[in-house]
Amino acid sequence: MGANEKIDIDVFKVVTRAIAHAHSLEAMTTYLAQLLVAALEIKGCSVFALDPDAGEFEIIGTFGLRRSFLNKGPVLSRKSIARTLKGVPVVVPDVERSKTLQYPDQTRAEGIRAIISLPVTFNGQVIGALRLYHREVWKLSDRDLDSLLVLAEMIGLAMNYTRLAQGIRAVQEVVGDGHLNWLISSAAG
Amino acid sequence: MGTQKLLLPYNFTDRDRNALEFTARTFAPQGDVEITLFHCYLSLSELPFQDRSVTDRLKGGMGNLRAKIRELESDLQNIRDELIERGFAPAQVRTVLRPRKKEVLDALLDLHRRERFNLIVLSRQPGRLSRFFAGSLHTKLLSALTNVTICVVS
Repeated sequence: MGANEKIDIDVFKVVTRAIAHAHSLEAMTTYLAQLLVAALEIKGCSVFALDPDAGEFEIIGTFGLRRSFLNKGPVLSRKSIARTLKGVPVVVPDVERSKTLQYPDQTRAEGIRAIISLPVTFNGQVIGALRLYHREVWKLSDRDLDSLLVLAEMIGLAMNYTRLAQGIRAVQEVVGDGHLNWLISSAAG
Repeated sequence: MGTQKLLLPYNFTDRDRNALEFTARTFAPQGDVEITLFHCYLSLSELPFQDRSVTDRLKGGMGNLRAKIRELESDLQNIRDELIERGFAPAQVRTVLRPRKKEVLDALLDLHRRERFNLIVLSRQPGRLSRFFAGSLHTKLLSALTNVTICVVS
């Protein structure tokens, strides 16, 4: 591991255990955000899910950012570091030199100098984003970037699992409902 | 009728502000209400395992977490002050801030078991996807509680 690398196997183990222990997607993404902020010594981290109908990123879990920044307005997928939608990691090493931000003034006011935006994918489709915010101009090592991409893939799996689990729960609620027995008995004649 | 005990879960979103506004407008003139402003947060220290070799290394970063908790205390206090400015007596408004191990629902039910609120004022969760992934908090509360009035402010 090089001197610039901060995500080693020990950090990876702690992160993996924390997210495996999480009882919900919100808990999983919040623990992940807290651990990445601590491990990388950065300002903040957010995990977004993509709402394809609204064309907006919605925060599922976050840590380190002020509420005024989080409540700044809708994060539009076509305006906010839009290349993330193409499934590639986007590194904004210095926000002062970037034109890809949707809220440049709020970003500066929050004290953010650099952003890394990673796609969260499932089955090759972008379903969200993992974003890391640093106070300083930032050059992340290739190895750390690779580790973050693996974590983003894990989030993609968890989001899909939660989606399926919620679907099954909804079916269970309907099947467990009394009126279905009434329907079945009337069909049996 | 005795004093109403009102629980106001607060997560600092714009919608929570609507719930705060509703509470101030509706209950400040009445006088016979006690408000509990409640916020719960997820904290790594609540996890059952702690790998010392790594948590020691992450100590600097974890300091950030403690600072965030202090920030939450102060922000919740500011919301309390706002209610007092809107006409509630200081004795009528208290704050409860605590870490949670499970869902917000569990933390709310746990508090309700001890405090027996008459009224809960909730804001609607802000995002469509958050509601989808976490389920609707007010629907879950409605099925878990009886003899409590639940107001949902959109």
